[in-house]
Amino acid sequence: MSVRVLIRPREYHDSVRLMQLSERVRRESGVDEAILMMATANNKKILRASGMMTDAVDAAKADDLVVAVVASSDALAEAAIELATEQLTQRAAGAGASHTPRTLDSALALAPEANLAQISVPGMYASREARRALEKGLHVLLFSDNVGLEDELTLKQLARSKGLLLMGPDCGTSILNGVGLGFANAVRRGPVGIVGASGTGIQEITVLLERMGLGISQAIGTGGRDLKESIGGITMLMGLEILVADPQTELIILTSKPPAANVAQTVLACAARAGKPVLINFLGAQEADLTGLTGSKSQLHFATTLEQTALSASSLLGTGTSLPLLSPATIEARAGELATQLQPQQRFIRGLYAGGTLCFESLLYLQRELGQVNSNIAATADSLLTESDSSRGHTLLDMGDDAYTIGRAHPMIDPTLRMQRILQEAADPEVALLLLDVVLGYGAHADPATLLVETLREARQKAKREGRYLGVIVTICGTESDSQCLSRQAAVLQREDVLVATSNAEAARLAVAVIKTTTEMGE
Amino acid sequence: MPDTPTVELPQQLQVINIGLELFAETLREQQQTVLHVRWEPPAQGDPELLGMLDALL
Amino acid sequence: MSAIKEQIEQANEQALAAILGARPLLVDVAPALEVVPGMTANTILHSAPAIEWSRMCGPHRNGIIGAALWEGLAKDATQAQQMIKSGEIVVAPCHHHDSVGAGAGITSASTPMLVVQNATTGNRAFSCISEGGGLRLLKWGVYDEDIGRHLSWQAKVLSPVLRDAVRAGGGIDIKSIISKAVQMGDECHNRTIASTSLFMRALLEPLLEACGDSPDLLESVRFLVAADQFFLHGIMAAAKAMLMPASAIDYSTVVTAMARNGVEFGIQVAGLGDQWFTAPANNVEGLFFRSEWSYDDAAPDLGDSCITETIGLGGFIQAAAPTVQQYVQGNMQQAIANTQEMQQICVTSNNDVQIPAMDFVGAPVGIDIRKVVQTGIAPLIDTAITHKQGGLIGAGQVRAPMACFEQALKAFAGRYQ
Repeated sequence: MSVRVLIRPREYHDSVRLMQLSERVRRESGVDEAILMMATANNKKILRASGMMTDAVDAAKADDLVVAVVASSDALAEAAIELATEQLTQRAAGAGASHTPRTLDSALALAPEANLAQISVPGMYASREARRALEKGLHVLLFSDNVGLEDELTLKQLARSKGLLLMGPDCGTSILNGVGLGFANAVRRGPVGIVGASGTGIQEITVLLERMGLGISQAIGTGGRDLKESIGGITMLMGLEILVADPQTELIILTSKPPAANVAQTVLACAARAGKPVLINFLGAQEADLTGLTGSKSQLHFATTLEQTALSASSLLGTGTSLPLLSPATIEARAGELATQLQPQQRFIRGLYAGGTLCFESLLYLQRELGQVNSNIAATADSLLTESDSSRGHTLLDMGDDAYTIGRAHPMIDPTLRMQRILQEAADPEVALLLLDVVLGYGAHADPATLLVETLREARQKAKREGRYLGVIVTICGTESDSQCLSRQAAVLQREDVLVATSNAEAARLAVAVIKTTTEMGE
Repeated sequence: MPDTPTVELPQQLQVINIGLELFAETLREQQQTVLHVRWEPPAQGDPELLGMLDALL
Repeated sequence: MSAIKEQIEQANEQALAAILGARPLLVDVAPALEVVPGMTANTILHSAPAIEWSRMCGPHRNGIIGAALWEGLAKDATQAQQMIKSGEIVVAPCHHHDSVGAGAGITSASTPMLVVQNATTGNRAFSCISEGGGLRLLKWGVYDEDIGRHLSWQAKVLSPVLRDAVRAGGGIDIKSIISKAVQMGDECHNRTIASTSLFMRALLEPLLEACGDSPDLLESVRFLVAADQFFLHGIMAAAKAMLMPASAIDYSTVVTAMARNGVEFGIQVAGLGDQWFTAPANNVEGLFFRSEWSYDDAAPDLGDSCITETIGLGGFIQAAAPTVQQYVQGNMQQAIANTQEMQQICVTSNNDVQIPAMDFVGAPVGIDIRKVVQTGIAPLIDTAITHKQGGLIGAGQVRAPMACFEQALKAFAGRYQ
């Protein structure tokens, strides 16, 4: 086993580039592991855990680049380091020769007409950049997470005082004037406006609407914490204001996890005055709780799932279209087919999600139908899993959660961790099926289905050697117009004996049906 | 809500992208003009210098 | 914007107004002892920053000893060193005497000086004249009998001719020469062929008028015609004259001087007065004139000549001089990218220096220490490569050390926050 480490002092590359380079070096040089990362404190932990800590790495500073490889021979390791160096030098030279500003101020000198800043720098620097952008009169899409709550409040207050939108922090998706910002799907323009505190929530709703021929006027992300008490829904209220005033918007959807009570009250009160139908999708909230807050339900409509939100929108707009969802009978049948292939001890669902909201929605449904479901985003202590825990019982993991993304890119960008976890789950003899989301669109992997299939084959072969069939249910969040193409991705998976659902909710229904069937069969 | 300016979305988005080049690429895929900032930690991350820059620049 | 940021912005505006509003004119040529403030018969000046004899680089030691011999202050190198160590010979940076010196910058009492007056503010700055082309010059830290003879010829024969011509010229407009030369392929540091030609053209009539009957005219002209980069030293003195009025503006973060002594690199900042902020000089990256030379032979960065970059010439406008790019195996695209980089650390652009290859955009000018530290972009300098033991061996480019700017920013914060 040969470990080689190279330190390149004061050389910065963004995390995605480094991930892409790491992947390339791994693939092309046949080494066991190749990691390129900045020598930040968090990354050093990762390197230590991977057995790649050396004195040089320890001494390296946060703005130094570490290139570390593990190979079966010195020669392979050397070759890998050479390849990495070549790629890095090329990259650095290319960057130097191109006309790229290094700061927001320099960028504004070149493009004084700029009106929006998209910010995805590491969390500890994000507030500074967002503040500068707002001070310069730009709207901001703040993708970065790990930004302090106090900073979020002062930044949103600053934004509001200037009539600017601060979408974020931790905002993965917006669609403004038909342009997808961050991770977004290719959808048509139309009469539905969305304000959402959840990226994949917005994505799921938009793709389901697209499926029904309904388009989007604006989709405004607010960031995951906007509806907390301390923030008070500043961005949601501003988004609502925009959609109320927008003549293109005929129906407004508000989507989020349940807000703090008084924030919900304020938002609902504003929504009630909208003068056009508003569809409230506070995932997991009961309709009764909400109408209790407003006192009247005449202006407002409620939907408990993302799927129901899309269906209600279509119904409220009177378009008459629907989704090709499976009937309960068909779900039973499919579930039965899968269940008969399982061994008696295979009783559990393992869900691995890139989309946090999709995970959350499934978690709610599974808990209601199956009882205890463990998760890293569980509400109760006895169901809570940390990122070093193995799954137990029914488990759904949000792999985009902060704990899994320290020093790594989000699973929508870097699928590695999830693929590894799939293999881990497959090795557990009590696992009946995997429940997964595949997200398409701008910013997503070029062919996630094919990548997933490679891992699924390996996982299923392993299970098969131990006499087990492994069920797989996938929800694809995407459209025909996405470059990956929804139907093509679905076909790739279906050819591999994967059950492809039309929506996240349907995938959860299928999964539950399988478990209920096996339980019945066992009795 | 106190008197604050109404928020208007610009007709034509003119985006400056700071951070992951991935998000500049997704805009280019959509034929959107975007100016990418080749961002690096200011003052190479030195906290003392960062503090001074916050106050002075 | 906070109060202090406002003050800094205003102070920087003031500094740039002073620099860009300057009118540097070549008004005289005279021996250092006659014109340089604080000059004495036993003073020898060198390129900044100040440094003890024991730590000086080879070119400086050789040059200073050479000057001592040439001036007749000492009869041999041993005596010269004794006198330097004892203080009988005073050694100081040119910058401390309103002067600048390229390479080793060796300036002694009899050295002919170009005298540049800033017509806007009246202040004067000085530079030793160029010894001409060649790899072995006092400027590069080499001294022998031939060099001594040439220096004496310059002092006794060339200098009076130049003086009469320059005086008759009534003040040669150096800013105008720079503006035109940049549009003729000069970046005014490593390449000053166009500047020198324009200078010669400006000098032609007064030269004939004032020195038409002089027996030394032809010999002097022969030298000047062969010295095709002669005017670098004039541009340097002009830069110094332009920066001097900005040298004490409270709250300004603009760099007013950059210099290297073959060991350390130093900067001065408008809002921080006379203080020098120093750090180890970097090694110049480039090409060597002969295959026998390599990086092992090279002294670190040396000379006051980066006073040109301090006013946004040289490495800041590589795109104006494609020939210079060859020394670092670059290309036009890289040169333009380098200038764009410099734009990001400067206060403004100079409309008097327009770069044709970049659609006549004004050159970046006014290095802001805050922006240097923020971006991690250090000023880029086009420069010569000197041998550790003296002599010119190559040319290329080098970055100012970041540490100078970090130190300066800390001092600025300490003083003004």
